[in-house]
Amino acid sequence: MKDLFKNLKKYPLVIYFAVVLYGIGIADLFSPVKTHSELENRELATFPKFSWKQLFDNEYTPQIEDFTEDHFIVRDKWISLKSISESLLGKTENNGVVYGKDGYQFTKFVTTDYSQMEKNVGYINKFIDRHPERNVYFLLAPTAPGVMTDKVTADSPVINTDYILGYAAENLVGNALVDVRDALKQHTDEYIYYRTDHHWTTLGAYYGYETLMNSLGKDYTTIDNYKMVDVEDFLGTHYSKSKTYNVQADTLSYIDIEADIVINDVAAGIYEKEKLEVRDKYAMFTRGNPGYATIKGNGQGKIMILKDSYANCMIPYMVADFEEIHIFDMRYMTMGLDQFITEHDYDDILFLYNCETFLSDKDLVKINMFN
Amino acid sequence: MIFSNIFFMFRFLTVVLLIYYIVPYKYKNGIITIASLIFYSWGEVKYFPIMIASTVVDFFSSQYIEKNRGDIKKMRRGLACSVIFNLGSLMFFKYTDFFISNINNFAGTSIPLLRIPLPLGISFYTFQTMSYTIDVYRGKVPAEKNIINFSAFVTMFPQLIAGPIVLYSDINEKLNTHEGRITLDGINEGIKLFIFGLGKKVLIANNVGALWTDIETMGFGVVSTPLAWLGIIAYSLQIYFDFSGYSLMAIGLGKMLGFDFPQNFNLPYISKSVTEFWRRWHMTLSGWFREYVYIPLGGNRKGLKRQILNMLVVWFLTGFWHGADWNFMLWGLYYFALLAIEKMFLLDWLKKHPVPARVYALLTIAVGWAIFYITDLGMLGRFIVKMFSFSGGISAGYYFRNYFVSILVGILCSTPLTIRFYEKYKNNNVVMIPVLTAIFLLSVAYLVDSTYNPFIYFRF
Repeated sequence: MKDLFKNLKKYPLVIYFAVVLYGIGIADLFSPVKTHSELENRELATFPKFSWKQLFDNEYTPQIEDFTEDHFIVRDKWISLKSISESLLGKTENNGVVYGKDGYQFTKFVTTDYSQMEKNVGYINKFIDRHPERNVYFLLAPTAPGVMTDKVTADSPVINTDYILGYAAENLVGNALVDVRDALKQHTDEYIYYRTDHHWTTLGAYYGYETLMNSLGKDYTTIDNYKMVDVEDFLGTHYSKSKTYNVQADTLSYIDIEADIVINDVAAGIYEKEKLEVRDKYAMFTRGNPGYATIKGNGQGKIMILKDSYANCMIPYMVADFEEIHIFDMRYMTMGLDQFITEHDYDDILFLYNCETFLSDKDLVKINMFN
Repeated sequence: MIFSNIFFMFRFLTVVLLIYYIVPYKYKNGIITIASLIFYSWGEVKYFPIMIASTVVDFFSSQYIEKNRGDIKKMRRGLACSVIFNLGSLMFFKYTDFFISNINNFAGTSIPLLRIPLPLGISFYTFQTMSYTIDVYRGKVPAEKNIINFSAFVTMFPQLIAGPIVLYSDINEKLNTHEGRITLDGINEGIKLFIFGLGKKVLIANNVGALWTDIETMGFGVVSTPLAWLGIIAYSLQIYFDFSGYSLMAIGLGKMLGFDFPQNFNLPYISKSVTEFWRRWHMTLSGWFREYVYIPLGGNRKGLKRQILNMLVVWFLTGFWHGADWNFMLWGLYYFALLAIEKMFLLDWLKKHPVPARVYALLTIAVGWAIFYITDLGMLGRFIVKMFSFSGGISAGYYFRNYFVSILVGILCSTPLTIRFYEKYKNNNVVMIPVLTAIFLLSVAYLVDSTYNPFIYFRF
């Protein structure tokens, strides 16, 4: 053993890698444990509590590995290093996000399985058939790849919104479909979709809103009546996955209005402005995605909205034009919708989903349940 | 646990090496055993007893053979005990469900499947321990007298779950050597090999492998012909760099512990025939089949007809060893057919025509990987039709742009260039340290943000 150490100076490579391996390992042991990753906008793994059951199901040890990776020393720097390396290799995707031109990022879709989408159209038809006396509309919003086609690199594996909208147009009963494609496509030179997030911008939502109100045959307050407030440095959901080192941040805007949203009988501002301080800025609209919430407006008519988060930045425009807005997120619904409809006697019922959610949403089945 | 993992490198390995180097020599084999049992249980705690049973059965069968040397009946009894135990557990865990589901299919019965998960690495360690008993029976090696030394051989974590298949005779001297097992030379080389192996697995295999996974997701039958080729090239590179990277990491770890494991891959894609490919691919497995199946059956000593039959047996078994499914048998028989044709006449022609020989070898190997991967035979047929029919489908453009550089790096690293580089600079620390640092740090970066880090031998 003594000889080993005596000769060690002849082996600088051994000393060097021992220092690297043990140095990083020990420094990592003493690096502080964070609970939340700002970069990735997610909760980091917590150290697993030991349980024999988990151990025998082979579920315990992977959690320790996840914990080690999630809390590895200077994790964010490693992630940037990988991003730089990927970019040198000419990769234009990471972690389910595909890069387009001018800093645009899109959700990656390699599969062409439309079965869930077809089922979802069926659920909405069934709902419409059950409520023949109501005006039911379905605004199926295209996501960025379907509108900002100039920003999509050729052959990229992104969603085919035209196919989905075409299927919906053909198979929905009556004239329920509100097709906002043309309205959006007229404005592709404007900032209507975020680059780093899967949502449309507040401006994009406005063009959708115009088409919707024309379909409903209602007057609406035009955008020049509002003051826009801009918030810089918005990094959205796509960036949380791709973590590109050379990201161009977005600007999030909202119309400067005052209104209350009632969630679980508690009223609060329609904008949760605290969210503007954190990564997940889009969550400021309608205070995230409440299961059921109501908003009192200053216009005419009651509208029921069954929606995903694309609706959130459109709803502020509705405050001026509707008397009451009731929003439902089917993920959290455990009650039948029909009793709400009977009780509140809505003038209009609106489904508002984006094509990507609608393609795989598994909660729409509930619109015909629990009654 | 797998080697290409943050926890393995910075927690498990650091602690194990530290303890292993510090304790006196007489405890070192004990430390290997304990560390290996933890390593094994980490992935599959329920199968801890199998590991123990495997050690105990083979240890005592060999002791029994040794004690009764000369008494052929008793020796055979000892051998049978080991072979039945090893093959029995391999059959039970790996093949029972395959047979049940086929009986159900053909006879229309509905015998319930066992649905027991395959013990990690069972195909590797059963072969390894079985060969030990056979070697003791043949008098090639003396039976190990110390059960701790023996358990260190059986469980040794570097080669436990994905090879190389280390024979007892490869390491028995070192297992019983105390002074001088660990040398700085060995550690020095071990570090280099481990990091190169890590880079092969994390930087090349994982990088190109994601392409094949995408093609599987879209469906093998809907791709265009260029994308089918791009995909099968990517998969050929993935399986080579993944497997050989893993073997290289194992060899490197072995050297750090003071053992010399046999080489497992020797640039298989430069082969000029399928015969040559199988001398360069997973060499310890083909060596095992040659030593313990092919030669005992008579090898090439009993005429051409018998030799072809022996090859058929070996290649059927080789295919089936890789997984309990029809496509693996088909894969084995595919290689049998090619090898038999080469043996009978093609090999001479190939030797005289090196360029067509390379094209032929790469083409047949690539088709081989399609057979190997695609378990659904109908799907396999559609994919092979796609490869050779020049038809349209999902365009290759996007994938070509994304994977061009990675595939090129993979191809370059499949040539003797890397070996030449290594031989030239392995003792030049001014070159070696920066290169290894870059590979190591990049690999860690990819493992920290690991979106794709599969373990592809789960069926072995």
